[in-house]
Amino acid sequence: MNGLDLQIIRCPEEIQVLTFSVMGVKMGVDTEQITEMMEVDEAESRGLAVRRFHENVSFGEMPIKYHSPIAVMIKNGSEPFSVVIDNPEDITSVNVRSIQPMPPLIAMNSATCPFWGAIPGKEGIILLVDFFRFREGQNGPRK
Amino acid sequence: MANGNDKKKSDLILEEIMRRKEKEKIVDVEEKQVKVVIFALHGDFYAFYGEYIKEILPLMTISSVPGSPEFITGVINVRGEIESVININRFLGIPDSANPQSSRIALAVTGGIRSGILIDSVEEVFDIPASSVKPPLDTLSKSIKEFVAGEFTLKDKLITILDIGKIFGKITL
Repeated sequence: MNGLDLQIIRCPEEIQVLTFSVMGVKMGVDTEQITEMMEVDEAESRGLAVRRFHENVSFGEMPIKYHSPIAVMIKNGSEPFSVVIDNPEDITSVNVRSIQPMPPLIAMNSATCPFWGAIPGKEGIILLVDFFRFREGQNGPRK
Repeated sequence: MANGNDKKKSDLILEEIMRRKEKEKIVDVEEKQVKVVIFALHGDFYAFYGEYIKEILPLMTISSVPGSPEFITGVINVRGEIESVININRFLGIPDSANPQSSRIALAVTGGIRSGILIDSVEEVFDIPASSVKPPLDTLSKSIKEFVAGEFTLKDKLITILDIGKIFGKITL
């Protein structure tokens, strides 16, 4: 052996997903991206960079309304930031085999579309959002 | 009685037979059929080449995908596979369907890309002679002409064939 410290990254069997919805669109995020959940007021009072979900991802022309907003803090590098999501529902175990890739015509718009996969289910499709990619698009949604 | 003239006659007959067979072959080539899926968009008739249409799905729940272009309606679950759905009206700059209940989703595949295409209604699936497909008229709207493979007339209706490869190609640019 040459002493190199090789790290083997294996695909997990399952991931923990926090499900939520914004404007009726069901979404989920791998809980490993989240460090904390808090009220929006608290996130603002802590002086955190707070972005509403729709400020980075376009929902078209419809007026945006949040019903049960909550701020989730994202750990990414040295600068934590928080995203306001709506209607947090549950944290569930998802077998990675049940995750489908986003269709190519949508995946290639990754600059404006932060979804990396989808979970087809009886109660609809859950879009898996990557908040790291979401942050990269924080110059604002594409019209 | 066999003589030189009779031989000539048989040769003539054989030549004629061979000529007819050749002609039949030529007719066969000319009558090569292509399958087309004819559908309506805002009162006009369009078609896709059938070889690119995997199946026609009934209208089902389409989950919208925020951040995707306006002409992508969203995604659908087709037996556990997630497929995108293009609103072809919006893509071509045509007003949306007046009667969305009769809409269908054509699942199209070409160039390794698969996607649903929302269409107003499916009229018919036909085999037409390939020779009946003509170049598009100059009068066709510029926004549509770019995606047209040709036109043909069926039952006095002018039908515009849309090129799915060109549509997908434009989206993936």
